[in-house]
Amino acid sequence: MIGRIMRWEMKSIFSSKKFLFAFLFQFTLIITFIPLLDTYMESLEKNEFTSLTPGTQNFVPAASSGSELSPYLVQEKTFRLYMVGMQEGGRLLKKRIVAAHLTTKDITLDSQNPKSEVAKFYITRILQKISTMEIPLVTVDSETRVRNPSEAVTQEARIEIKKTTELIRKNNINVTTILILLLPLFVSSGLLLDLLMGEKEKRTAEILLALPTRPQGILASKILSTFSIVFVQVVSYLVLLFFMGRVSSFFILFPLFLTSMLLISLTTFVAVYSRNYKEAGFVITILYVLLFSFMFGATMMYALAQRFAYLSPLTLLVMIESGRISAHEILWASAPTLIASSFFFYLSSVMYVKDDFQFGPRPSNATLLARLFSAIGKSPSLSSLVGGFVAVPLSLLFELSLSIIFLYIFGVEKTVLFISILTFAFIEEGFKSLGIVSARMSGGKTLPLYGALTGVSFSLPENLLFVFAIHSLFPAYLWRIILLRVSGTVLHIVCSTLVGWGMGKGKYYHTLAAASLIHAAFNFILVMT
Amino acid sequence: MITFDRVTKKFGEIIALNEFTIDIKKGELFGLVGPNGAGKTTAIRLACGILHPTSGKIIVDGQDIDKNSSQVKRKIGYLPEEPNLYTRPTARELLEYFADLYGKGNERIDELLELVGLSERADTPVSTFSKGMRQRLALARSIVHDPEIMVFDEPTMGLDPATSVKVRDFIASLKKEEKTIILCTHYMEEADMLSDRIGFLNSGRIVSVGTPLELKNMLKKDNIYEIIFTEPVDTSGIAAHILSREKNGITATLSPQLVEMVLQEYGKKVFSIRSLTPTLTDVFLKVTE
Repeated sequence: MIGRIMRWEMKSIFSSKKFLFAFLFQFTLIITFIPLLDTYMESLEKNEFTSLTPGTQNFVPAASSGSELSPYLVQEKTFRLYMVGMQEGGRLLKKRIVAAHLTTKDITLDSQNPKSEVAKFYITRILQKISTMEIPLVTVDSETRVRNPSEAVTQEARIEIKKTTELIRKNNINVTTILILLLPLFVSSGLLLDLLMGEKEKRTAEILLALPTRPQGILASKILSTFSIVFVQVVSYLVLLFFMGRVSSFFILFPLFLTSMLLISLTTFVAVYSRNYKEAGFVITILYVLLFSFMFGATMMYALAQRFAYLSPLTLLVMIESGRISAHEILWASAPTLIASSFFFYLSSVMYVKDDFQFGPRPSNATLLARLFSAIGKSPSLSSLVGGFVAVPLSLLFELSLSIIFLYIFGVEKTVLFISILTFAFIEEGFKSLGIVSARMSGGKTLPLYGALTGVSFSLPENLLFVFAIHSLFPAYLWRIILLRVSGTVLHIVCSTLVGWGMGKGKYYHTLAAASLIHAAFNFILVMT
Repeated sequence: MITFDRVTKKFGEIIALNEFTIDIKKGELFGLVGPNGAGKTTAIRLACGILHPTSGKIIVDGQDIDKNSSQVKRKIGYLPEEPNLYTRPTARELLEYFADLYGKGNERIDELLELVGLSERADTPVSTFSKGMRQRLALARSIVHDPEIMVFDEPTMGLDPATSVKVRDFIASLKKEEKTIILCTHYMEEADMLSDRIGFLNSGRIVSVGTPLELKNMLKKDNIYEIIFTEPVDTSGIAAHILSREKNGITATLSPQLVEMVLQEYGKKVFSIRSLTPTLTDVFLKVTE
């Protein structure tokens, strides 16, 4: 049955003039876009200070021109390097030493290996913000110095761009070119939305559900048809790119497959969940923007936080193209996408067989989530604990995606102030409410108590994540952060108890606003100190 | 053949079907009649395994539909209220696709197209079809696998009289083949003409079941009279017996004593009085009032 439905769907799609147009349009776009991209790269090379292309080494040159280091280097004619360890570096930064090179190893200047001639600088300014800059080193009178630092910055930007473009030319690869391949993934996901929503809106789904097969089989046939169409498209484009000399390895199909899996699972979820095209279109647009920001953002952080970058399947693209990848790394970088996709496919198949989603009035979002948590939790206490725990990844996903978007729009300082202080507080308090709602749906009466439990279960994974992240990035601050997280735990318990109390008294929105403001004030103090 | 055993179906807080119990025999054409929102479509979607009961059991040919969904669905042909057809393919391609989905060959396609009067348009895309043609094609689609049980939801809804007659004749021909049929309809004369038995559904419950004759005989003990007055009169004294009102007239179920009382009370204002044979509409109005 699945095979028959698949054949029918694929026949319909491939014979559709709209699809053929989209397919040929993309084909033409790729052919024309690549020469345009080359011109763009050349112009980047000439305009010394900007490099927007993701590199394929273990760091990503985001934008050299706006470096925080530039004004300091311009003021100082000769720049002295202090070869210090991490802890000493931290102390120097605290004393407002303009810049320090933090390393656990001594630098050895090796002309055969250009990589070791690059030193990484850390600079501190207000709000303890740290930026990095890599500049070439020169040895003068047995001391390591940088002469004429402003020129060094210029040279570095040039080197960086040159290095990126050389790497691209050398290996006949271009990450940006490969990213073009993401285009058919989005088009095909749109097709899946049409396959599922179209059946729902035209009520042909009713006929399919009357067929002698399990509803999950029908859903699977639609998903597999989409995968097949994605496969045909991507392979066609890959072959084209291969003959254009842009792709050296067909192994990049794997991360593209992972990306399409994530997109298709998310689209399936939205299509099954939505009542109509309008709703599905709105939700999917927002989710695609968030997902894309998240995927690109996580990949851009590959150098800084490798494990975090594994959350995005695009990281695998960068790793494959840099030619440094092991089976262990493939596993690490695939697991988050596979888990997330499986989760969305599972939720979609559960929803697809529910009559409410096909015919009836769909339960409200809060009811659905609370129903899920209470089904897992069984008792009010467990429901609130599960709700609080699940609220962490949900908050994190929204916070990270929003942060990445805001970073591009407003820059680092405003994003830190606005996002971390205000938006994070509202997002977290909002998602924590799920724990209280699910406890109430499981029959819980003393809502402040369940609010407190939600706060506890939210704090636990959040604290672990913080400690893990801080330990990786700034080990010198670990104990200070642990102490701060204790106060954070108290904050979460207080705020959730307040929201629980408000929900019980019918003043949910008032107390949610109050809790969010308290949370925001706490974040502000945290950031300022 | 089809048994609903205390079946309740809820959509959130809404109870669409409440303790619905009915037994449809093999080879029977069962008419399901009720006002809008009575739960007719929910009942037949449950019978086809499209919906799942909140409580209770549905047994089709000795098998619980919730437990043996695939086997049971293979025996059922379902025609929804709207044709719900794919519009891109031709009529023939559509029937071939559904025959294929049920694991059947294309032997019956020409016969079915002939039967529903679409032979000449067999190779035309469905998108060019009128509503009546789509409805006839949907009918052919629903029986493409030659099912033992057929479930038709408002098969003549919105069709012109000529097409309605064709569809009714077609259903009547299926009845002769000893197929078990559930016919869900708003049209009383359709239910009366085609059904072996009729179930009246109101607010999710079966309120009355019987053959058309049995149901009409329910009103026989109180004869139905049409009374025309010479001028508008206050009929509040017999309001409980009135089935319908017109400008200067009423239709009411009256015992001989009440007829006598009316003649005494309204006297010269009565222009005419005549006895009527009860119809299914009268029964429907009576049982759903």
